[in-house]
Amino acid sequence: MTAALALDPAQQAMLDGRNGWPQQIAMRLLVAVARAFDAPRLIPVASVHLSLSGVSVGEPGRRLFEDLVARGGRFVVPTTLNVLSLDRSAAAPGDASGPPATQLAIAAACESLGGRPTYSCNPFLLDIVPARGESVAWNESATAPYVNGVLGARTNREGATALASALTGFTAEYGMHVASARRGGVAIEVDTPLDGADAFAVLGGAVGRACGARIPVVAGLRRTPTLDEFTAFCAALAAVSPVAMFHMVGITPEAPASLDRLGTAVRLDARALAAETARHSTATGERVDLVAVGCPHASLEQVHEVAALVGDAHVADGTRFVVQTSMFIAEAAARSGAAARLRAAGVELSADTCVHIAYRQAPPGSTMATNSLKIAYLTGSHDVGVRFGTLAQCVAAGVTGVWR
Amino acid sequence: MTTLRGIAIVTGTAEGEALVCRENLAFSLVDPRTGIVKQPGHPWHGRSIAGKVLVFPTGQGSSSGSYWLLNLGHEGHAPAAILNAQCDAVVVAGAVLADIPLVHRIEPDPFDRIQPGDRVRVRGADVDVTR
Repeated sequence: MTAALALDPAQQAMLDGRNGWPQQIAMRLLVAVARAFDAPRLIPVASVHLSLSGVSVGEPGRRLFEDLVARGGRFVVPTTLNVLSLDRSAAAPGDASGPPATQLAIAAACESLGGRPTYSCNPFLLDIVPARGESVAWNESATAPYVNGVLGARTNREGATALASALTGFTAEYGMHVASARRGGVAIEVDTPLDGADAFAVLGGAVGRACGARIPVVAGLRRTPTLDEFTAFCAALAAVSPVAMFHMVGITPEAPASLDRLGTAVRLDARALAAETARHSTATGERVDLVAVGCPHASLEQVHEVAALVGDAHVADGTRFVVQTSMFIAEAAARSGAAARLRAAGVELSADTCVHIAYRQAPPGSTMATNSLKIAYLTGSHDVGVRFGTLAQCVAAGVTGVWR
Repeated sequence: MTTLRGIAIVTGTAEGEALVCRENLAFSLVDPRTGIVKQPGHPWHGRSIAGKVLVFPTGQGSSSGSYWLLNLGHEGHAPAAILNAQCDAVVVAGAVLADIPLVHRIEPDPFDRIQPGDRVRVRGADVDVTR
Protein backbone atom coordinates (compact mmCIF):
# COMPACT_ATOMS: atom_id res chain seq x y z
CA MET A 1 0.00 0.00 0.00
CA THR A 2 1.03 3.56 -0.56
CA ALA A 3 2.24 5.29 2.58
CA ALA A 4 0.54 8.61 3.11
CA LEU A 5 2.83 11.43 2.04
CA ALA A 6 2.84 14.25 4.58
CA LEU A 7 3.79 17.72 3.33
CA ASP A 8 4.69 20.53 5.71
CA PRO A 9 2.94 23.91 5.26
CA ALA A 10 5.80 25.38 3.19
CA GLN A 11 5.80 22.39 0.85
CA GLN A 12 1.99 22.45 0.58
CA ALA A 13 2.12 26.16 -0.33
CA MET A 14 4.51 25.36 -3.17
CA LEU A 15 2.26 22.55 -4.41
CA ASP A 16 -0.81 24.82 -4.28
CA GLY A 17 0.96 27.37 -6.49
CA ARG A 18 1.08 30.10 -3.88
CA ASN A 19 4.75 30.75 -4.71
CA GLY A 20 4.25 30.67 -8.47
CA TRP A 21 4.40 28.11 -11.25
CA PRO A 22 8.12 27.14 -11.10
CA GLN A 23 7.88 25.82 -7.55
CA GLN A 24 4.45 24.33 -8.26
CA ILE A 25 5.58 22.20 -11.23
CA ALA A 26 8.73 21.23 -9.31
CA MET A 27 6.72 20.22 -6.26
CA ARG A 28 4.28 18.22 -8.43
CA LEU A 29 7.25 16.34 -9.77
CA LEU A 30 8.68 15.59 -6.32
CA VAL A 31 5.28 14.56 -4.94
CA ALA A 32 4.81 12.15 -7.89
CA VAL A 33 8.23 10.60 -7.21
CA ALA A 34 7.48 10.38 -3.48
CA ARG A 35 4.18 8.61 -4.20
CA ALA A 36 5.85 6.23 -6.64
CA PHE A 37 8.40 5.14 -4.01
CA ASP A 38 6.18 5.36 -0.89
CA ALA A 39 8.32 8.13 0.57
CA PRO A 40 6.75 9.35 3.82
CA ARG A 41 7.98 12.92 3.39
CA LEU A 42 10.13 15.37 1.48
CA ILE A 43 13.49 16.25 3.05
CA PRO A 44 15.78 19.25 2.52
CA VAL A 45 18.76 18.98 0.18
CA ALA A 46 21.96 20.95 0.80
CA SER A 47 23.03 21.17 -2.85
CA VAL A 48 22.16 20.11 -6.39
CA HIS A 49 24.27 19.09 -9.39
CA LEU A 50 22.22 19.52 -12.56
CA SER A 51 22.53 18.04 -16.06
CA LEU A 52 21.71 20.43 -18.89
CA SER A 53 23.45 19.14 -22.02
CA GLY A 54 21.75 20.31 -25.20
CA VAL A 55 21.91 16.82 -26.70
CA SER A 56 19.62 15.38 -24.05
CA VAL A 57 17.57 18.40 -22.88
CA GLY A 58 16.90 19.64 -26.41
CA GLU A 59 14.61 22.40 -27.62
CA PRO A 60 11.63 21.54 -25.36
CA GLY A 61 14.02 21.55 -22.42
CA ARG A 62 15.23 24.99 -23.46
CA ARG A 63 11.62 26.19 -23.45
CA LEU A 64 11.12 24.69 -19.99
CA PHE A 65 14.24 26.37 -18.55
CA GLU A 66 13.37 29.71 -20.19
CA ASP A 67 9.78 29.50 -18.88
CA LEU A 68 11.17 28.92 -15.39
CA VAL A 69 13.28 32.10 -15.71
CA ALA A 70 10.43 34.16 -17.19
CA ARG A 71 8.00 33.08 -14.47
CA GLY A 72 10.31 33.95 -11.59
CA GLY A 73 11.98 30.60 -10.90
CA ARG A 74 15.12 30.55 -8.74
CA PHE A 75 17.46 27.83 -7.51
CA VAL A 76 17.05 27.98 -3.75
CA VAL A 77 20.09 25.81 -2.87
CA PRO A 78 23.66 25.94 -4.25
CA THR A 79 23.52 24.30 -7.68
CA THR A 80 26.47 23.28 -9.85
CA LEU A 81 26.03 22.63 -13.57
CA ASN A 82 27.11 19.53 -15.50
CA VAL A 83 28.75 19.28 -18.94
CA LEU A 84 27.51 21.08 -22.05
CA SER A 85 27.29 19.78 -25.61
CA LEU A 86 29.93 22.26 -26.76
CA ASP A 87 33.05 24.07 -25.57
CA ARG A 88 31.97 27.69 -25.01
CA SER A 89 35.45 29.03 -25.72
CA ALA A 90 35.48 27.23 -29.09
CA ALA A 91 31.91 28.20 -30.11
CA ALA A 92 32.06 29.78 -33.58
CA PRO A 93 30.11 32.94 -34.59
CA GLY A 94 28.01 30.68 -36.86
CA ASP A 95 26.83 28.88 -33.73
CA ALA A 96 24.26 31.61 -33.07
CA SER A 97 21.57 29.33 -34.49
CA GLY A 98 20.71 25.64 -34.39
CA PRO A 99 21.77 23.23 -31.64
CA PRO A 100 24.68 25.36 -30.32
CA ALA A 101 22.27 28.26 -29.77
CA THR A 102 19.91 25.92 -27.92
CA GLN A 103 22.75 24.83 -25.63
CA LEU A 104 23.97 28.37 -24.97
CA ALA A 105 20.38 29.45 -24.18
CA ILE A 106 19.90 26.54 -21.75
CA ALA A 107 23.18 27.44 -20.03
CA ALA A 108 22.20 31.12 -19.85
CA ALA A 109 18.81 30.20 -18.37
CA CYS A 110 20.43 27.97 -15.74
CA GLU A 111 22.82 30.76 -14.79
CA SER A 112 19.85 33.18 -14.55
CA LEU A 113 18.18 30.71 -12.19
CA GLY A 114 21.30 30.85 -10.02
CA GLY A 115 23.32 27.87 -11.30
CA ARG A 116 27.10 27.97 -10.86
CA PRO A 117 28.87 27.85 -14.24
CA THR A 118 31.00 24.80 -13.43
CA TYR A 119 30.03 22.82 -16.60
CA SER A 120 31.84 19.74 -15.41
CA CYS A 121 31.02 16.10 -14.67
CA ASN A 122 33.76 16.16 -12.02
CA PRO A 123 32.51 18.81 -9.58
CA PHE A 124 34.56 17.25 -6.77
CA LEU A 125 37.60 19.07 -8.21
CA LEU A 126 35.91 22.45 -8.17
CA ASP A 127 33.17 23.49 -5.93
CA ILE A 128 30.78 21.92 -3.46
CA VAL A 129 31.78 18.79 -1.57
CA PRO A 130 28.79 17.33 0.32
CA ALA A 131 29.37 16.49 3.96
CA ARG A 132 28.82 13.10 5.55
CA GLY A 133 25.14 12.37 6.25
CA GLU A 134 23.96 15.32 4.18
CA SER A 135 21.17 14.76 1.62
CA VAL A 136 21.75 16.26 -1.81
CA ALA A 137 20.27 15.78 -5.30
CA TRP A 138 23.09 15.18 -7.75
CA ASN A 139 22.45 14.49 -11.41
CA GLU A 140 25.15 12.79 -13.58
CA SER A 141 25.23 9.13 -12.69
CA ALA A 142 29.00 9.01 -12.12
CA THR A 143 28.74 11.42 -9.18
CA ALA A 144 26.29 9.29 -7.19
CA PRO A 145 28.70 6.52 -6.09
CA TYR A 146 31.21 9.19 -5.09
CA VAL A 147 28.66 11.18 -3.07
CA ASN A 148 27.29 8.07 -1.36
CA GLY A 149 30.28 5.74 -1.20
CA VAL A 150 33.29 8.00 -0.79
CA LEU A 151 31.76 10.96 1.06
CA GLY A 152 28.96 9.24 2.98
CA ALA A 153 26.55 11.95 1.84
CA ARG A 154 23.25 10.88 0.25
CA THR A 155 21.87 11.12 -3.26
CA ASN A 156 19.84 9.01 -5.63
CA ARG A 157 20.79 8.88 -9.28
CA GLU A 158 18.81 11.93 -10.30
CA GLY A 159 17.24 13.00 -13.59
CA ALA A 160 14.96 16.00 -14.07
CA THR A 161 14.15 15.47 -10.39
CA ALA A 162 17.38 17.36 -9.62
CA LEU A 163 15.89 20.41 -11.32
CA ALA A 164 12.83 20.13 -9.06
CA SER A 165 15.13 19.90 -6.02
CA ALA A 166 17.07 23.00 -7.11
CA LEU A 167 13.82 24.98 -7.43
CA THR A 168 12.33 23.84 -4.11
CA GLY A 169 15.25 22.73 -1.92
CA PHE A 170 13.62 19.33 -1.27
CA THR A 171 13.77 15.72 -2.43
CA ALA A 172 11.68 12.63 -1.75
CA GLU A 173 12.96 10.54 1.16
CA TYR A 174 13.55 7.17 -0.53
CA GLY A 175 16.39 5.07 -1.89
CA MET A 176 19.83 6.32 -0.87
CA HIS A 177 18.30 8.78 1.63
CA VAL A 178 17.19 5.80 3.75
CA ALA A 179 19.94 4.22 5.88
CA SER A 180 18.75 0.62 5.43
CA ALA A 181 18.92 0.91 1.63
CA ARG A 182 22.61 1.82 1.74
CA ARG A 183 23.90 -1.52 3.01
CA GLY A 184 26.05 -3.78 0.88
CA GLY A 185 24.52 -6.74 -0.93
CA VAL A 186 27.40 -8.51 -2.66
CA ALA A 187 31.01 -9.19 -1.62
CA ILE A 188 33.91 -8.52 -3.98
CA GLU A 189 37.45 -9.62 -3.10
CA VAL A 190 40.22 -7.88 -5.03
CA ASP A 191 43.22 -10.15 -5.36
CA THR A 192 45.74 -8.03 -7.24
CA PRO A 193 47.57 -4.77 -6.50
CA LEU A 194 46.04 -1.71 -8.19
CA ASP A 195 47.69 1.60 -8.91
CA GLY A 196 46.48 4.60 -10.87
CA ALA A 197 43.17 5.86 -12.29
CA ASP A 198 43.35 3.51 -15.29
CA ALA A 199 43.47 0.44 -13.04
CA PHE A 200 40.62 1.72 -10.86
CA ALA A 201 38.44 2.39 -13.93
CA VAL A 202 38.83 -1.26 -14.91
CA LEU A 203 38.03 -2.30 -11.33
CA GLY A 204 34.86 -0.17 -11.42
CA GLY A 205 33.72 -1.90 -14.61
CA ALA A 206 34.44 -5.37 -13.24
CA VAL A 207 32.71 -4.59 -9.93
CA GLY A 208 29.69 -3.14 -11.77
CA ARG A 209 29.40 -6.26 -13.89
CA ALA A 210 29.65 -8.52 -10.84
CA CYS A 211 27.22 -6.62 -8.60
CA GLY A 212 24.26 -6.08 -10.96
CA ALA A 213 21.72 -4.00 -9.05
CA ARG A 214 23.12 -4.95 -5.60
CA ILE A 215 25.42 -2.59 -3.68
CA PRO A 216 28.98 -3.96 -3.86
CA VAL A 217 31.31 -4.26 -0.86
CA VAL A 218 34.92 -4.35 -2.04
CA ALA A 219 37.72 -5.79 0.10
CA GLY A 220 41.40 -6.46 -0.50
CA LEU A 221 42.57 -2.99 -1.51
CA ARG A 222 45.98 -2.17 -0.06
CA ARG A 223 45.50 1.56 0.40
CA THR A 224 42.93 4.36 0.14
CA PRO A 225 42.46 5.31 -3.52
CA THR A 226 43.36 8.85 -4.59
CA LEU A 227 40.68 11.31 -5.69
CA ASP A 228 41.50 10.57 -9.37
CA GLU A 229 41.33 6.83 -8.71
CA PHE A 230 37.98 7.16 -6.92
CA THR A 231 36.39 9.27 -9.68
CA ALA A 232 37.58 6.80 -12.36
CA PHE A 233 36.20 3.87 -10.34
CA CYS A 234 32.85 5.58 -9.71
CA ALA A 235 32.29 6.60 -13.34
CA ALA A 236 32.97 3.05 -14.55
CA LEU A 237 30.80 1.49 -11.83
CA ALA A 238 27.85 3.78 -12.62
CA ALA A 239 28.20 3.21 -16.37
CA VAL A 240 28.04 -0.57 -16.12
CA SER A 241 25.54 -0.97 -13.27
CA PRO A 242 22.50 0.92 -11.93
CA VAL A 243 23.84 1.17 -8.36
CA ALA A 244 24.36 4.55 -6.67
CA MET A 245 26.50 3.25 -3.80
CA PHE A 246 29.47 1.06 -2.95
CA HIS A 247 31.63 0.26 0.03
CA MET A 248 35.35 -0.46 0.43
CA VAL A 249 36.23 -2.31 3.63
CA GLY A 250 38.51 -0.28 5.87
CA ILE A 251 38.34 2.70 3.50
CA THR A 252 34.90 4.22 2.85
CA PRO A 253 32.91 5.72 5.75
CA GLU A 254 29.88 3.41 5.83
CA ALA A 255 31.65 0.16 4.91
CA PRO A 256 31.10 -2.93 7.07
CA ALA A 257 34.14 -4.17 9.01
CA SER A 258 34.43 -7.28 6.82
CA LEU A 259 32.73 -9.28 4.06
CA ASP A 260 31.11 -11.57 6.66
CA ARG A 261 27.40 -12.28 6.13
CA LEU A 262 27.54 -11.28 2.48
CA GLY A 263 27.92 -14.79 1.12
CA THR A 264 30.63 -16.06 -1.20
CA ALA A 265 32.77 -13.25 -2.51
CA VAL A 266 33.28 -12.64 -6.21
CA ARG A 267 37.07 -12.81 -6.66
CA LEU A 268 38.68 -10.28 -9.01
CA ASP A 269 42.29 -11.10 -9.87
CA ALA A 270 44.65 -9.73 -12.53
CA ARG A 271 43.15 -12.11 -15.10
CA ALA A 272 39.58 -10.95 -14.42
CA LEU A 273 40.64 -7.32 -14.76
CA ALA A 274 42.50 -8.07 -18.01
CA ALA A 275 39.31 -9.68 -19.33
CA GLU A 276 37.31 -6.59 -18.31
CA THR A 277 39.81 -4.39 -20.20
CA ALA A 278 39.67 -6.58 -23.30
CA ARG A 279 35.88 -6.62 -23.55
CA HIS A 280 35.74 -2.83 -24.07
CA SER A 281 37.96 -2.87 -27.16
CA THR A 282 35.69 -3.41 -30.15
CA ALA A 283 37.91 -2.11 -32.96
CA THR A 284 40.01 -4.53 -34.96
CA GLY A 285 42.19 -2.31 -37.20
CA GLU A 286 45.28 -0.52 -35.89
CA ARG A 287 44.35 2.96 -37.15
CA VAL A 288 43.06 5.43 -34.49
CA ASP A 289 41.08 8.52 -35.63
CA LEU A 290 40.29 10.04 -32.25
CA VAL A 291 41.93 9.84 -28.83
CA ALA A 292 39.69 11.04 -25.98
CA VAL A 293 40.88 11.18 -22.37
CA GLY A 294 39.40 13.05 -19.41
CA CYS A 295 36.17 11.21 -18.53
CA PRO A 296 35.38 12.16 -15.84
CA HIS A 297 36.89 15.58 -16.57
CA ALA A 298 40.67 15.50 -16.06
CA SER A 299 42.23 16.92 -12.91
CA LEU A 300 45.15 19.34 -13.22
CA GLU A 301 47.50 16.48 -12.31
CA GLN A 302 46.06 14.34 -15.11
CA VAL A 303 46.48 17.20 -17.62
CA HIS A 304 50.10 17.48 -16.51
CA GLU A 305 50.53 13.72 -16.86
CA VAL A 306 49.32 13.85 -20.49
CA ALA A 307 51.72 16.74 -21.24
CA ALA A 308 54.61 14.78 -19.71
CA LEU A 309 53.75 11.61 -21.67
CA VAL A 310 53.47 13.54 -24.95
CA GLY A 311 56.79 15.27 -24.27
CA ASP A 312 58.34 16.66 -27.46
CA ALA A 313 56.25 14.47 -29.75
CA HIS A 314 53.39 15.72 -31.97
CA VAL A 315 49.93 14.29 -32.63
CA ALA A 316 49.92 12.17 -35.81
CA ASP A 317 48.46 13.60 -39.04
CA GLY A 318 44.81 12.63 -39.39
CA THR A 319 44.37 11.83 -35.69
CA ARG A 320 42.47 14.08 -33.28
CA PHE A 321 43.62 14.00 -29.64
CA VAL A 322 41.31 15.60 -27.04
CA VAL A 323 41.87 16.07 -23.30
CA GLN A 324 38.52 16.88 -21.68
CA THR A 325 38.27 19.03 -18.59
CA SER A 326 36.49 21.99 -17.02
CA MET A 327 37.19 25.63 -17.81
CA PHE A 328 38.67 26.03 -14.31
CA ILE A 329 41.23 23.25 -14.77
CA ALA A 330 41.95 24.49 -18.33
CA GLU A 331 42.74 27.94 -16.89
CA ALA A 332 45.01 26.39 -14.27
CA ALA A 333 46.76 24.42 -17.03
CA ALA A 334 47.23 27.68 -18.96
CA ARG A 335 48.95 29.20 -15.92
CA SER A 336 51.18 26.17 -15.36
CA GLY A 337 52.28 26.13 -19.00
CA ALA A 338 50.82 22.67 -19.71
CA ALA A 339 48.09 24.07 -21.99
CA ALA A 340 50.68 25.74 -24.26
CA ARG A 341 52.78 22.55 -24.39
CA LEU A 342 49.72 20.49 -25.34
CA ARG A 343 48.70 23.02 -28.00
CA ALA A 344 52.22 22.95 -29.49
CA ALA A 345 51.97 19.17 -29.64
CA GLY A 346 48.62 19.34 -31.44
CA VAL A 347 46.55 18.14 -28.46
CA GLU A 348 43.18 19.87 -27.92
CA LEU A 349 42.51 20.85 -24.31
CA SER A 350 38.72 20.97 -24.39
CA ALA A 351 36.58 22.60 -21.66
CA ASP A 352 32.90 22.27 -20.66
CA THR A 353 32.09 19.16 -22.69
CA CYS A 354 33.10 15.61 -23.71
CA VAL A 355 32.99 13.49 -26.85
CA HIS A 356 30.03 11.46 -25.59
CA ILE A 357 27.64 14.36 -25.07
CA ALA A 358 29.04 16.86 -27.63
CA TYR A 359 27.20 17.86 -30.78
CA ARG A 360 30.46 17.05 -32.57
CA GLN A 361 30.56 13.25 -32.36
CA ALA A 362 33.06 10.71 -33.61
CA PRO A 363 31.86 9.86 -37.14
CA PRO A 364 30.36 6.40 -37.75
CA GLY A 365 32.96 3.92 -38.88
CA SER A 366 35.82 5.75 -37.14
CA THR A 367 37.94 4.37 -34.31
CA MET A 368 38.33 6.05 -30.94
CA ALA A 369 40.94 5.31 -28.28
CA THR A 370 40.21 6.13 -24.63
CA ASN A 371 41.31 5.28 -21.09
CA SER A 372 37.76 5.94 -19.84
CA LEU A 373 35.76 2.77 -19.32
CA LYS A 374 32.58 4.88 -19.23
CA ILE A 375 33.21 6.41 -22.65
CA ALA A 376 34.26 3.03 -24.05
CA TYR A 377 31.07 1.46 -22.70
CA LEU A 378 28.74 4.19 -23.96
CA THR A 379 30.42 4.38 -27.37
CA GLY A 380 29.99 0.63 -27.76
CA SER A 381 26.31 1.27 -28.66
CA HIS A 382 27.29 3.59 -31.57
CA ASP A 383 28.83 2.65 -34.89
CA VAL A 384 32.28 3.69 -33.66
CA GLY A 385 35.15 1.29 -33.00
CA VAL A 386 36.78 1.52 -29.55
CA ARG A 387 40.29 0.88 -28.30
CA PHE A 388 40.30 0.86 -24.50
CA GLY A 389 43.54 0.93 -22.55
CA THR A 390 45.82 2.98 -20.35
CA LEU A 391 46.58 6.69 -20.63
CA ALA A 392 50.10 5.80 -21.83
CA GLN A 393 48.63 3.59 -24.59
CA CYS A 394 46.23 6.40 -25.57
CA VAL A 395 49.04 8.96 -25.77
CA ALA A 396 51.13 6.56 -27.88
CA ALA A 397 48.13 6.09 -30.21
CA GLY A 398 47.73 9.86 -30.44
CA VAL A 399 51.30 10.52 -31.53
CA THR A 400 51.65 7.52 -33.86
CA GLY A 401 48.05 7.29 -35.15
CA VAL A 402 47.96 3.54 -34.51
CA TRP A 403 47.07 1.32 -31.55
CA ARG A 404 49.57 -1.25 -30.36
CA MET B 1 -14.31 -5.18 -21.03
CA THR B 2 -12.31 -5.71 -17.84
CA THR B 3 -11.18 -3.00 -15.46
CA LEU B 4 -7.85 -3.23 -13.66
CA ARG B 5 -6.80 -0.86 -10.92
CA GLY B 6 -3.43 0.55 -9.94
CA ILE B 7 -1.89 3.61 -8.31
CA ALA B 8 -2.03 6.75 -10.44
CA ILE B 9 1.27 8.64 -10.28
CA VAL B 10 0.28 11.11 -12.99
CA THR B 11 -3.51 11.30 -13.01
CA GLY B 12 -5.26 11.72 -16.33
CA THR B 13 -7.51 10.23 -18.99
CA ALA B 14 -6.20 8.64 -22.16
CA GLU B 15 -6.99 5.89 -24.62
CA GLY B 16 -4.96 3.92 -27.12
CA GLU B 17 -3.81 0.60 -28.48
CA ALA B 18 -1.68 -1.43 -26.04
CA LEU B 19 1.99 -2.27 -26.56
CA VAL B 20 3.03 -4.88 -23.98
CA CYS B 21 6.45 -6.29 -23.17
CA ARG B 22 8.41 -7.57 -20.19
CA GLU B 23 11.60 -5.70 -21.10
CA ASN B 24 12.52 -2.38 -19.49
CA LEU B 25 12.46 0.67 -21.76
CA ALA B 26 15.00 3.51 -22.04
CA PHE B 27 13.22 6.62 -23.32
CA SER B 28 16.65 8.07 -24.13
CA LEU B 29 16.77 5.41 -26.88
CA VAL B 30 13.47 6.43 -28.51
CA ASP B 31 13.83 8.80 -31.49
CA PRO B 32 11.85 11.93 -30.52
CA ARG B 33 11.37 12.92 -34.16
CA THR B 34 9.55 9.70 -35.02
CA GLY B 35 8.60 7.97 -31.76
CA ILE B 36 10.43 4.85 -33.01
CA VAL B 37 12.26 2.69 -30.44
CA LYS B 38 15.98 2.34 -31.19
CA GLN B 39 17.01 0.45 -28.06
CA PRO B 40 19.21 -2.45 -29.23
CA GLY B 41 17.55 -5.83 -28.77
CA HIS B 42 14.30 -4.38 -27.40
CA PRO B 43 11.09 -6.19 -28.49
CA TRP B 44 9.70 -2.83 -29.69
CA HIS B 45 12.83 -2.00 -31.70
CA GLY B 46 11.77 -0.31 -34.95
CA ARG B 47 8.17 0.29 -33.76
CA SER B 48 6.58 3.63 -32.89
CA ILE B 49 5.26 4.26 -29.39
CA ALA B 50 3.31 7.36 -30.49
CA GLY B 51 -0.26 7.35 -29.20
CA LYS B 52 0.12 3.87 -27.67
CA VAL B 53 -0.62 2.75 -24.12
CA LEU B 54 2.76 1.31 -23.08
CA VAL B 55 2.86 -1.62 -20.67
CA PHE B 56 6.41 -2.47 -19.49
CA PRO B 57 8.06 -3.24 -16.11
CA THR B 58 10.08 -0.07 -15.47
CA GLY B 59 12.36 2.51 -17.08
CA GLN B 60 16.10 2.09 -17.50
CA GLY B 61 19.11 3.89 -18.88
CA SER B 62 20.16 7.52 -18.97
CA SER B 63 18.76 9.90 -16.39
CA SER B 64 18.15 12.31 -19.29
CA GLY B 65 15.19 10.08 -20.25
CA SER B 66 12.79 12.58 -18.60
CA TYR B 67 13.72 15.22 -21.15
CA TRP B 68 13.50 12.71 -24.00
CA LEU B 69 9.91 12.02 -22.93
CA LEU B 70 9.25 15.78 -22.94
CA ASN B 71 10.81 15.92 -26.44
CA LEU B 72 8.53 13.13 -27.66
CA GLY B 73 5.51 15.07 -26.41
CA HIS B 74 6.69 18.23 -28.08
CA GLU B 75 7.12 16.42 -31.43
CA GLY B 76 3.65 14.86 -31.15
CA HIS B 77 4.97 11.31 -30.65
CA ALA B 78 4.32 10.83 -26.94
CA PRO B 79 2.68 7.64 -25.76
CA ALA B 80 -0.99 8.03 -24.73
CA ALA B 81 -0.27 6.57 -21.29
CA ILE B 82 2.35 4.51 -19.44
CA LEU B 83 1.57 1.47 -17.27
CA ASN B 84 4.49 0.12 -15.21
CA ALA B 85 4.96 -2.64 -12.68
CA GLN B 86 6.99 -0.13 -10.63
CA CYS B 87 7.81 3.18 -12.23
CA ASP B 88 11.24 4.79 -11.85
CA ALA B 89 12.05 8.44 -11.13
CA VAL B 90 13.16 9.20 -14.70
CA VAL B 91 9.81 8.13 -16.18
CA VAL B 92 7.88 9.81 -13.35
CA ALA B 93 9.62 13.15 -13.96
CA GLY B 94 9.15 12.89 -17.74
CA ALA B 95 5.47 11.98 -17.40
CA VAL B 96 4.84 14.94 -15.08
CA LEU B 97 6.60 17.38 -17.44
CA ALA B 98 4.94 15.99 -20.58
CA ASP B 99 1.58 15.42 -18.80
CA ILE B 100 1.32 11.73 -19.73
CA PRO B 101 -0.97 9.59 -17.51
CA LEU B 102 1.17 7.13 -15.53
CA VAL B 103 -0.16 4.22 -13.45
CA HIS B 104 1.81 1.48 -11.66
CA ARG B 105 1.32 -1.52 -9.32
CA ILE B 106 -1.74 -2.54 -11.29
CA GLU B 107 -3.89 -5.51 -10.23
CA PRO B 108 -4.69 -8.03 -11.51
CA ASP B 109 -1.33 -8.41 -13.29
CA PRO B 110 -1.52 -6.28 -16.45
CA PHE B 111 1.08 -8.49 -18.17
CA ASP B 112 -1.50 -11.31 -18.04
CA ARG B 113 -4.61 -9.23 -18.64
CA ILE B 114 -3.51 -6.89 -21.41
CA GLN B 115 -2.57 -8.29 -24.83
CA PRO B 116 -0.73 -6.30 -27.51
CA GLY B 117 -3.36 -4.64 -29.67
CA ASP B 118 -6.03 -4.46 -26.95
CA ARG B 119 -7.84 -1.14 -26.63
CA VAL B 120 -6.93 0.39 -23.27
CA ARG B 121 -8.54 3.36 -21.59
CA VAL B 122 -6.88 4.94 -18.55
CA ARG B 123 -9.07 6.91 -16.09
CA GLY B 124 -6.96 7.95 -13.13
CA ALA B 125 -6.08 4.71 -11.33
CA ASP B 126 -8.56 2.63 -13.41
CA VAL B 127 -7.50 0.80 -16.55
CA ASP B 128 -10.27 -0.44 -18.88
CA VAL B 129 -9.22 -3.19 -21.29
CA THR B 130 -11.29 -4.06 -24.38
CA ARG B 131 -10.33 -6.85 -26.78
